[in-house]
Amino acid sequence: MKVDDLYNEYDKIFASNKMPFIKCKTCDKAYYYPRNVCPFCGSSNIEIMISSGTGEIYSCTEFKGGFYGIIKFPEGFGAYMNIDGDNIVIGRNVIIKFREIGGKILPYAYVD
Amino acid sequence: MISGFAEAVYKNYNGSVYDLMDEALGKALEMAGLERKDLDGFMTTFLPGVFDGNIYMHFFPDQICGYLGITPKYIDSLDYGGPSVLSALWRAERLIKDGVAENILLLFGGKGSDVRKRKQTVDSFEKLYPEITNTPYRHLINLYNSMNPVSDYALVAERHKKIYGSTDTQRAELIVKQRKNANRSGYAMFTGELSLEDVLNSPVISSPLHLLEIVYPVDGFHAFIVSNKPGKLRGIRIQNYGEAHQSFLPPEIDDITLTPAAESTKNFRREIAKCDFYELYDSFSITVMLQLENTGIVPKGQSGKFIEKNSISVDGDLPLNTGGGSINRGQPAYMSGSVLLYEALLQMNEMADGNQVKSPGKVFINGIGGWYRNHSVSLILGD
Ligand SMILES: [Zn+2]
Repeated sequence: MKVDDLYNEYDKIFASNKMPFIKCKTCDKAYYYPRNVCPFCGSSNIEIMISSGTGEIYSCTEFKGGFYGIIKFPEGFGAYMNIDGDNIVIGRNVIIKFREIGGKILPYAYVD
Repeated sequence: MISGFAEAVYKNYNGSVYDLMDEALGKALEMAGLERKDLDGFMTTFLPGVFDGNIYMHFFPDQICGYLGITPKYIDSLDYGGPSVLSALWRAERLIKDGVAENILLLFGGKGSDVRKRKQTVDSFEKLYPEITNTPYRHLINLYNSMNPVSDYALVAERHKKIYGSTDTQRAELIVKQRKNANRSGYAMFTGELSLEDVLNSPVISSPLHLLEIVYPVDGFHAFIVSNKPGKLRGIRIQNYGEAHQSFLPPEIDDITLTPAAESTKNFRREIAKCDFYELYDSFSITVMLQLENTGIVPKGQSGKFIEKNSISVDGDLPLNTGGGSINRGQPAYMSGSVLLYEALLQMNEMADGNQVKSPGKVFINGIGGWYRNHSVSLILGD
């Protein structure tokens, strides 16, 4: 897949309020930031998958713009995201929600 | 060997970046006893915005040489941000040894105040140009409300607190102790009494990081002339060297508190322990703590406690960032590598006056680039 195809597919999945990631069928590792070749083993035998849509706060920070952090997912990948909700601290479970951010439908993490 | 070194650093420089680099070069040539025609090698770097606000310049090393009136037969540009100058020193030494050139000018810095006036940094420069993106990950990175580079350092500081129990007070201790070094140096830009309360009561910019834990970007250049003869200076060379690079984003790294500094130092940890003083990259308080741990100076997770217990002054247990570091000297064009190297050379040549390390036999320098995580350059200087 070309990188533009990966982005188009991600945008479609975001629009249906689901969280995509990429799984390498050669080494079995997962990653989120679109690359047409697996960054772990170099294989192009990859597949776009749908995550359970739940994760955990790996780290977080608060500044004027709100909360932001790294979310790790049980499928083995991680992503930067805005975080909403109460009691936002490392280790808390989050669910992934979607909204328009800067003209694009994008995922954000929500602490229930 | 370095035959001349100089700096031209201002909080906000009113003239052009070209005047600034010319000033640093002029001083370094004077120390080396060389003329422009003697320079046959040139190494530099370019960051968006730091050359009078330009996002880029055509063939910029050539344009700089043309402006400065130097005609090198070897030209290079390194793009690791902060530690680029340290890599340039290692490459220059090898080129000279191989007879490629005799006097190589390393000219690193810039004038970032044009970017600052527009409320952006080199990391957020793309916000001024909506049609431009500086990452292949486009909106998956740049539409979120990050505050880079501060927020990425904040994420690693928060993680360090959680995993190792380090505290805001421990990070503040480092800032207070580096300020003491700055006050003693007589040549720092930021001086005066600073207490733990001052640091802890300064505004939280991106939790847990306070304003006074963050380096202040300034305008300036450093010029280092690497030569086949040391001239009037001590004939010091790189004794041990390592560099390491990694390109995964923090969400893709298992442990973000483990930086490439672990890899870049792995072949000479024992030599590091024997050094007389240490200059560690200090873009933020947490940057220094990560390097203390990752280079093996302090066990993993123990940097906070170590800083509380030990003196880092020139006559202390572990002389560290002896001139006050870039936190107090200012960070020219978002890169601290030159500040570390300049201070190391002052000390090694016993030019630090009342703030002199006693018997400065060897110095360990560590530079970090690409936030805290992409590049590490580690070296020991001695004779
Ligand atoms: Zn793979």
